Amino acid sequence: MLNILRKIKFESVAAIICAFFIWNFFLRLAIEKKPPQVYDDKMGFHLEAEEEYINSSEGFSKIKTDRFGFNNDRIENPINTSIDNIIFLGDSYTEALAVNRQNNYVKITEKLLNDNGYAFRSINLGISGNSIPDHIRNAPGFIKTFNPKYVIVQLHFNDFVDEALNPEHGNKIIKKENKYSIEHSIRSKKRTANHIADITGWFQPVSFRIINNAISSYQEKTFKKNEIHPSNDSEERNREEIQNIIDWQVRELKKAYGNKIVFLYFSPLPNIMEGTVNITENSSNTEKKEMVFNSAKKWNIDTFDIEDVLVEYYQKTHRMPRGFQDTRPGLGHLNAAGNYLVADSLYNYLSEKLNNIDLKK
Amino acid sequence: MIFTSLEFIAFFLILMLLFPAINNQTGRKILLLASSYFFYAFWDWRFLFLILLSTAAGYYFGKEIYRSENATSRKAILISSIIANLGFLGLFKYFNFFIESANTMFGKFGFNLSALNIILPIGISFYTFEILSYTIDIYRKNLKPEKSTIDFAIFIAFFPKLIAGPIVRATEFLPQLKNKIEITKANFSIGIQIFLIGAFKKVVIADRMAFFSDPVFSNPSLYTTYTVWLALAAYTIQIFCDFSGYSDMAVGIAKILGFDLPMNFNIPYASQNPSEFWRRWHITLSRWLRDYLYIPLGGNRKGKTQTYINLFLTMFMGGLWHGASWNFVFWGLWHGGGLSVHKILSGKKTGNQHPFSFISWFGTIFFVMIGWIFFRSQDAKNTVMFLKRMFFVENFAINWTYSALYVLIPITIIAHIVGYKYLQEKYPRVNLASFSGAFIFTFILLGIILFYFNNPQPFIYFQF
Repeated sequence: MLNILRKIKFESVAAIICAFFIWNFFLRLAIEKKPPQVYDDKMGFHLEAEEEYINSSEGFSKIKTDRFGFNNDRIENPINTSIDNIIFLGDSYTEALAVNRQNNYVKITEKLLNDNGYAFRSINLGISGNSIPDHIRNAPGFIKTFNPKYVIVQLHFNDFVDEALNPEHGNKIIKKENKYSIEHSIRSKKRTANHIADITGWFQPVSFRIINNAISSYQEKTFKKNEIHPSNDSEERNREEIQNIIDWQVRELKKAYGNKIVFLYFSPLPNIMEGTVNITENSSNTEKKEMVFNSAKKWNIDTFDIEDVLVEYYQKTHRMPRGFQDTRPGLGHLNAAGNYLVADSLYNYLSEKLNNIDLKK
Repeated sequence: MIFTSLEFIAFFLILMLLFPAINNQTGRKILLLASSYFFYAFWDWRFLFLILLSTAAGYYFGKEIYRSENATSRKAILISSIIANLGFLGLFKYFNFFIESANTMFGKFGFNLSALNIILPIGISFYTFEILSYTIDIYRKNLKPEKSTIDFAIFIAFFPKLIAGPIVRATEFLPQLKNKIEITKANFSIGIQIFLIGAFKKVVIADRMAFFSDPVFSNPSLYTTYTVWLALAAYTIQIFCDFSGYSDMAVGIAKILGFDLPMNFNIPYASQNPSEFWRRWHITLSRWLRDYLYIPLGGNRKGKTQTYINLFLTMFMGGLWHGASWNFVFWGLWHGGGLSVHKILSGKKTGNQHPFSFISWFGTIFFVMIGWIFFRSQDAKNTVMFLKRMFFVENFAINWTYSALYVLIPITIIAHIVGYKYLQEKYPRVNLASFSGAFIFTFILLGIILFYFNNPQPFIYFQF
């Protein structure tokens, strides 16, 4: 062993360290820096509090998390009797780390409401990768901490199915003795990668990329579908099972948040698929939307869809409301234009629907 | 099992461990052959029988041509050999193409044949050309048939070059099997460097370019003129880094095992005319086409008109070799046209006319890039739309750019200028014991690891 060590030249070791150092430097410039996700009983998983987040994989943004670990300005007193809270639940589209804070739809909605005489504070509780089981499970903590007047839940069809049933997720739906329930596990493997990489300090960009990539690849190869995943069944039962799973989740959401809840439905459009911009009726998308809307109607939840607004924007401008310079057109998160369109529609919807109730100052 | 997969790394490590454990040369050759067949069977074991059959046929025909002293029978055996080899290739690669083309052309007259449900055996175009060159060389008395069946089978199935070349000639490979086969420290040091350069080109550069070029080539009508031009630049870099990256990896792996494979790319985008381009791009294919097709057709010895016809025919076949599709045929004819025009303009002179001429270089790279549109587009409609979007400015469309391009386009140009000056016909090498050598080595290795999992794409030339 000593012989081997003696043979290793100082120059070689120095060269290896230098190469590592330079890659790390490049990645710090080009790749996002994300504080690790942490867990607490009240809020579930969220980013570390008051940490800086730098994103450059989609556009460029720099955001500091609030004292709860969310993408908000610092909130001193979340329950303030003089102003009501609207909380926004959702995934990375709501968390909106790809744009600066003043350009995300949560913040713009607040601004539009305030500018037009409605006194509301919007609180962004979006967390990348969250889906319906997370929103259900986080409800007691969110309600206690923010006492919201309204709860906007941004969701996609997949939040009810693939995401909600993914065994790798912290909260996922299982079926036991013909009954659905949420199974909870504290940490998924992917989050562990974040923590391991964090130990490496300044070398976090290189180490995170290597560890996270290796774990993702391992997960892809060993991915086991939840046994109640509808795609395991025949097409006919598939639809029925999906509808049941959606119904159950919508009911649980309603139970958790009561009449305060509004759905903000994101269709995966406009999207570039197979030779054209997919802005016409895609049967599978229409069907998926119908399933969610039917369920929401059954449980008396208002559902607001932004598909038409985004499609119209593309048709008029030939610009995409989602995606950035380095993301494929039609994919990626909402950009500044997309966020504004969502906020504007949401404001119109809120002001129209809720105007005469109690929003006006 | 592609060279950049974890399966391949495991396979190669096991092979490296087994090699020193076997002391005699025959044992090592058997190991080499068995591992090559395993490598091929890993993709689809059923086609192992096809490669065994092609090998047996090549071996038999080679011996028969050599044994026969009668010129007519030698020719007859050679023709039988060519028919057998091209028969396999034609059946698996071109049969459906011809059926579909005939159906389209004569469909009005009630002509309708059903296509066969067959898939293209990977690497068939490459090893078929190697077997053909072997039998033709014996016929021309440039080569004696190989006595050892194991050696001949290794020549055909040697796994580093089996799937996507380089297309090796018997005269340059078989003699190497007579030397001692061993993994030496010196060969390992050179081979691993060549391999890593290839992997870097593929994993770090080509796959990033594919991320941009694929969507634009799929739907050129959706994008602005600027985006379409950028996508063409991206594809120009991508296809070079993808294919030359694969070739480098093949050469590197072979070198580690103690074998020298011919260089397949020699700074091609620095060429200053189409003729020079083909001396630098896919060198092993173009020299095959030159020696076994263009020259037998008469080359440039039968007058100007015949020379141009020969150029078109050769490039037509070269295009068709790439795939059973009209876009490859057009690409071949485009280059046939370019070579003819260059012949007309340069008269009887050969070689590089203007070694420092920017205009020559610019004209050549522009010509090559336009050719890539035929090569890459899925169909004629897309090709026309791509060209239309390039030359008729349209700004009311998606204006997409990709930041990696603004770094990689200048790097590619600089790399070509440096390579043209310092790396003619050789691979860059560093001294791993020195600071700079160890730094470059680690930098490249880390780059491959860091980008390995992002948007992996299959090698373009696997489909040929």
